[in-house]
Amino acid sequence: MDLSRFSLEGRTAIITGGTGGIGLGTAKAMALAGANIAIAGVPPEQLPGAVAEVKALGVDAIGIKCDVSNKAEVADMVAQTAKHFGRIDILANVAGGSYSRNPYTGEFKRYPLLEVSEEDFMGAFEVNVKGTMLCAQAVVPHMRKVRKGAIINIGSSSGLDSKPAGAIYAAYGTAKAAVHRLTVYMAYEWAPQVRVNCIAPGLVDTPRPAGESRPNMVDGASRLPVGRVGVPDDIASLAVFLASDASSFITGDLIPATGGDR
Amino acid sequence: MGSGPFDLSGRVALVTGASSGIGLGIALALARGGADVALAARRPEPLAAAAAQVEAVGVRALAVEADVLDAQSVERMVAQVLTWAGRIDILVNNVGGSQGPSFKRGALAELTGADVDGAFAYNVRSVFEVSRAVAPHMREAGRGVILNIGSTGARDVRKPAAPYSVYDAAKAAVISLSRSMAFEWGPQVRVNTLVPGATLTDRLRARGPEALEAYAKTLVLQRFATPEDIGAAAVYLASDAALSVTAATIDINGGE
Repeated sequence: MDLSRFSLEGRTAIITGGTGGIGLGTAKAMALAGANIAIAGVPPEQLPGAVAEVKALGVDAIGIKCDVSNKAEVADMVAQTAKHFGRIDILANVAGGSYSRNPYTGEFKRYPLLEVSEEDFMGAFEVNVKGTMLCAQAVVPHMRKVRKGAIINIGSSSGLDSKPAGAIYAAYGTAKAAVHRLTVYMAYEWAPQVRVNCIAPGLVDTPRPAGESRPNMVDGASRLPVGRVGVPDDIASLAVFLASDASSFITGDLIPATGGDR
Repeated sequence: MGSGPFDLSGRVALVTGASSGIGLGIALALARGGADVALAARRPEPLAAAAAQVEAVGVRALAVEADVLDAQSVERMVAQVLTWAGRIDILVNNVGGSQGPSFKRGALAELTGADVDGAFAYNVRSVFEVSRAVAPHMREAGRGVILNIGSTGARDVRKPAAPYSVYDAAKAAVISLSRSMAFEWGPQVRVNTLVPGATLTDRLRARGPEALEAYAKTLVLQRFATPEDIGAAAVYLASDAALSVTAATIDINGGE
């Protein structure tokens, strides 16, 4: 058996939003594939536990407090990673969410369009679109130094050309559609050294921030061809594929990991 | 890396059109992933050579002469693979092409109804015949993956162009059929479509090194896909790493 093209041995990956859910799952999956990991996220109290989980898999890992919508913090995240590991090969832009403001730092709420304030509408774009952009912009010079890099953005089934999931997802779904398109522009601008792809997860069963209700997973599963909702590993293993040389001819793609839903 | 999520050890794959090019690339990649592979094609000599290459990877390989447009031949092929391995976990419907013995490609004004029928039989009915023969076994086993092959011209990322208009229409039908299969045969069977970009096979190499170099320079990644690139995506989709991916269309086109 030779699955060496799927290996991430010797690579360094930054995972934003890496303290829990899809982010932590991606960090662990990439560690299992051999990569060293920088976990970036908020709140800072959750970083040591996440770092310990990744280190237990036998790779080096560091934790960095980073609000991805803050350019200075993003610059610091990238500088710390480059200093500690000497290289940056992979960026997984997992930080994001369907809330108008960061649930860890601000009020947690989603709104239908007729009720959403200007500030809360734009809030959906802060982390999901601007955060993805700022992190990618900051790592590309490092990737070009090693002549190769892979950026994985996280979109959403709510940003696909499907029937909208519900009014409260309007700002989020619109922002994620922007992430899908941003991926294509990044892929073209940064080729051939840097590949950029986007995963669109559907309903994924992750721990939710305090105050957010858990979606109905049984109803969710019943409408999916695969008969179950997603787990973080589903997204994480696709991220490993997209980070590895196994996908070296794939760039600018949007891959739905939705269980067949649109 | 040990037995990670991409490991196909213990799985059995059937690849149609497996003698050369992308089909052989996929067969070899699945073998490197640990799967035993049955290779199907019409012509016996190249098929035997391809099966020997797959066997050299260190897995079991079976060469099956079959015509995927002949329902009886398809039944015999599936029975032969089941006798050999007892199961089919992965089916790759790689047979297809823009021209064949019974149909030509060209500008729409130059084609006849027979050319359209020929293109749809070769690209769409072939997928239908083999899939419906294999899927019941997958559903009974509770697990299976079907991979079909689309074309870049069937995606909205590229302008359709002669002489591939009818071929691309047939491949668009394959993409649609794949989604329907995913919904009808889930949750046991996952069905996805791979869409290769310009891939370095003998057909492309026939253009000569200078023309190839000039062509490569026009591409976003400044190179062609290799059959291995398409194979690696097939390994991902066939593996448990892709348990949440079905009814999807994956472009392996270097951003074109």
